[in-house]
Amino acid sequence: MRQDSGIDFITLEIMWQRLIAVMDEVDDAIVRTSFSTIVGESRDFAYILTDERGSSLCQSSFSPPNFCVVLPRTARVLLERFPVETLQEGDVIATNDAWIGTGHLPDYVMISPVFKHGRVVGFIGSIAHVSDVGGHAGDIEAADVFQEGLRLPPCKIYEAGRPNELVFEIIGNNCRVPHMVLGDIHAMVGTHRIGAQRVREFLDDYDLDDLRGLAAEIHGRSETLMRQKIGALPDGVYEFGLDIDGYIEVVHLQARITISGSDVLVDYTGSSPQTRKASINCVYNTTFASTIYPFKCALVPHIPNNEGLFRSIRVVAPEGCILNTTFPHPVKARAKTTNNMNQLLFGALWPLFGEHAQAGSGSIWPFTLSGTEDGYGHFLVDMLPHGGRGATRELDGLAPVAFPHNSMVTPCEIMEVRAPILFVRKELLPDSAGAGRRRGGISQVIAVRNIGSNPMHLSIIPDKIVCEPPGLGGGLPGKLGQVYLAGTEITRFPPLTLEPGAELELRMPGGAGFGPPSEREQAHILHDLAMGYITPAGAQREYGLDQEE
Amino acid sequence: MDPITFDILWQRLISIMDEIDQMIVRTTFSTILSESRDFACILTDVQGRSLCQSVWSTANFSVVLPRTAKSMLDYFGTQSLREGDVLATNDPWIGTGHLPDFILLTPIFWHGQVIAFVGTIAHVSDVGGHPGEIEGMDVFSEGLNMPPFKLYEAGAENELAFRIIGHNCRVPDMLLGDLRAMAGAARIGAIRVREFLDEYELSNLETLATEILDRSEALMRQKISALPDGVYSYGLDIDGYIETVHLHATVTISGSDIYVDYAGSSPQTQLGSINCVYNSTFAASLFPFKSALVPDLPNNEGLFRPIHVSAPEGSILNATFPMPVKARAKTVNNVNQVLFGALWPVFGPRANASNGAIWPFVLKGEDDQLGYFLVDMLPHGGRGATPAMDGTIPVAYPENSTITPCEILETRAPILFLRKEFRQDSAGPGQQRGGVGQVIVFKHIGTQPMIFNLTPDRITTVPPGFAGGQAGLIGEVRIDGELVLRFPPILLQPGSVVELHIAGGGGFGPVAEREVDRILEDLAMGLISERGARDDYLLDQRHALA
Repeated sequence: MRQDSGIDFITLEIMWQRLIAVMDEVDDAIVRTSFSTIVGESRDFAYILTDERGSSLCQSSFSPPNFCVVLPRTARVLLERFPVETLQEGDVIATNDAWIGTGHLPDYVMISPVFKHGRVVGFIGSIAHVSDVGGHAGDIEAADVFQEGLRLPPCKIYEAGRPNELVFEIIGNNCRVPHMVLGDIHAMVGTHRIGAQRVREFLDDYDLDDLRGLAAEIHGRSETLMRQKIGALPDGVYEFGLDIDGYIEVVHLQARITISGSDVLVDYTGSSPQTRKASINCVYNTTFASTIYPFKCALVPHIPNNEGLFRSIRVVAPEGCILNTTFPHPVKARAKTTNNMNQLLFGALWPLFGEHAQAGSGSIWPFTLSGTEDGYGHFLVDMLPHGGRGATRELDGLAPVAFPHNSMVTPCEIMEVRAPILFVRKELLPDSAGAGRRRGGISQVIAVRNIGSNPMHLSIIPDKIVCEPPGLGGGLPGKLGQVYLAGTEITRFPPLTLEPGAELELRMPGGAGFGPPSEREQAHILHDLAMGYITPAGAQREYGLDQEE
Repeated sequence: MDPITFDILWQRLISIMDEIDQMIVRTTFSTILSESRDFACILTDVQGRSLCQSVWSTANFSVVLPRTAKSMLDYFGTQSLREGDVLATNDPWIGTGHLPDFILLTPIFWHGQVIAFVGTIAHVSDVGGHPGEIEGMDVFSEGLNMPPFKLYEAGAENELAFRIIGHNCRVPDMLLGDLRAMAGAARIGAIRVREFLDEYELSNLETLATEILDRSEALMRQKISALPDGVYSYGLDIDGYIETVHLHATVTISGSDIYVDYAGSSPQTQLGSINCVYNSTFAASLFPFKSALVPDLPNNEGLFRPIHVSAPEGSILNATFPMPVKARAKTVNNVNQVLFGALWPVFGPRANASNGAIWPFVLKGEDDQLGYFLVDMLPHGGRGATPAMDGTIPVAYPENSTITPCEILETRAPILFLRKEFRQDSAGPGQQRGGVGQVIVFKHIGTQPMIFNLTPDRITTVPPGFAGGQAGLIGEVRIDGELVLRFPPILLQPGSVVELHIAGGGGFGPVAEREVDRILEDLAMGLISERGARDDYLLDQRHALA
């Protein structure tokens, strides 16, 4: 429903872009003032502007999509606990509760009210993945969330501009790198202040008392467009089931999508129950965010993210299933499940999404190496390498790039400087891609050796080592990944040890193909052969290409 | 102050602590406080110096509390306190050395001034963290660590602190209920102390405190002076975890002072959570002196003054943050044995050879009939012999804890005890033999796997005897017949049988000096076998000689 705010579309666009620019400015500010590399380099954070009720209006351009969808949900819970009329200038409300926030404890969610003429007109919201929140040293193996670190209930970490000393002491006391985490949190608070100042300047420039009119325009127009795009899709019920690795036991994800007019209902009934064997459970917030993502990408890729886009999509997951896990199930490595949800939805909807649908990707394999060594001191390095991406209708899958995240890959050279390790190989892995009219992205193999004199700790979360990335439209699945530690293939991933001289080899999964391999143009096959993406044997096996040809 | 009035006043304060001790037992939410009594109630003066404790208070807690009180008062400043404040922390380095122990300190106001504090320490049921006991590589994996904070501020609950604690605990009702029970009991303690001051028309406790502390110190110094000056040292290997740990003590008696130094002990470790903070080491070091020299005097800080304890920073007895500490009792419980090892020649009949250790275990899981269950037991091995007596059969030592009966465990968890009996030939032979250890065998009779957490000790190193006495028999853990040596949480399958063979105590004096009648009596009682009588006590040779 349109509300007439008297804002024409050109003014709207100018004002909206101005707010996005404000978020980009605070985004830059956090990169320059944060203490950790996970915020400063890997950019695992988001900035979101909401209206006075917590509905999102825009985000900084680099913000990861899931955070942007979750933040308004978290903001509303925080505002129930601390009603807007009780807030004071200089308050900052925070939590890292997995069920209220993004689904695992390392993500701190904060909101600060923006005041104008003594009244709250909006909120600066941010989410940042901090370096440590205590808890067990591993990633996957845990039986409940209590093992995963400090869980801070919604609280005011700043009250009327003054830090709540007890909260900072508790956070610091329960964290392995307090200067880094507290530094990041202080940096976030500081950037909130800048954001609030800029929003007030914006309101002054445009002689506005609040953001209500603008918010109504942004939400109304965005919802209208999203409904228009959904309305253009054929009504119907679309279903897809997907087996993913899970941990120890395979997990099944099932989606039933009903498109009816301009509404979408996504129902995950039939998915596996939650598990106590591993921290791969997703809270509803995460499931909701991961569900929105493929629709946003496929239907309205160019509209700045805001809550108006989410209104036409309803998500249902039975309580107690792996996509709506109940407290206190373990959730630390929930990305291992959520990262596969886009494949499930594309699996159901590819016939409708056309060139925007993407076959299964080779996933992300985060790993961390830490220890102590003369000349390096206490070191901790991490990398977030990816497998090949899935193919789309028109394009071969990309060679390893981040997906569905914006994260960056730390260069080998940086890691070799900071830790006693040597990268022995980092190269594309021939024949790893799933065949198809459009083949999947080639994956990579990474081999790293401990060249120090002490054992080091290794934590790794691989995926697609049991269940292949699925192809679409007759495309073949990508090849499974394999992890070798000191020459032996491993399939369990508690905290591990890399002995001096030993090698860790990651043979990552390839992306899946799109369309039947028989339809792939010979020129493309020959090109792949020439580039070494496939071997002659592979070309023969996958595409029936004779050596002679 | 005349000695009779002095003793009446002091006993009155002790009875106040006993009253609040009872109150905690009756108002607490958890069985670890109401049944196992893992808590302490201590009265301190305005400077945080302990004056007395409830009679049941565990020994180590009573020594630690005044140290914690002083740290918290440094942090908050006594002047800043208001009536109704309650200070609290569970920081291992400020408190008792591991996170489950919460320490509360309540100021007592009289005519607008703080004149004393009621201190309570309680082991709460859960503080989050990993579900095991021993395998943890740092304190961050062991649960919530609350820095010194006000649990109550001017009588009002610190709502944020309660929420954070509740948020990070598996049984929040139990834990928050216990904290409220402790704070409530302390409030009654404060009322009783004010009534006491009123009745005796005292404006504060300072005169009485000075009397208690100075008289106790004087007596302790007198007892120490009666010991021969000298340097006494002893080294003891204990199990540690994965790697054996060495404890070494050098004790210097010089006039009325004692210096205990643990240089030469093993470094701290990240292989197991068996590291002790200095506070625990200090408390464990005082215990043998208190027991041996002034056993009948009520515990108070005056007794600690002549005893000086040092341990190299970074050693297992003075672990630095953030080493893992959850199962520090596995090390601390052996500290008295190092000191007795060094000092038995001067302690006379009160020395105690090494003990067969405590083996706490917990069983938890879900059962079709019983629902969610969690039970624990704290069984012990045999105690060490003393110069005058055989070691006692399994009783709690050096803690006051109580043993949950098998029948209670069987009603609350799907297990069946197959055996709970003395372990023949486990006592260390000697003129006085050690206490006999015990064998506990139980079977999982449920239908679903359950979690079994056990912290055994003396399974890789023996409890030694003193003065020529021999060591007790080493312990053994078997599950379905297989020897077990690592103790992360174990998943016990239905039908599995767990055998705990707990070590016997060490002997005292050469076996050749044991009277034949007593050997025959042990044989008749089945405490030793025919083989044991022949091989360990050389009974045949002695018959031949006779």
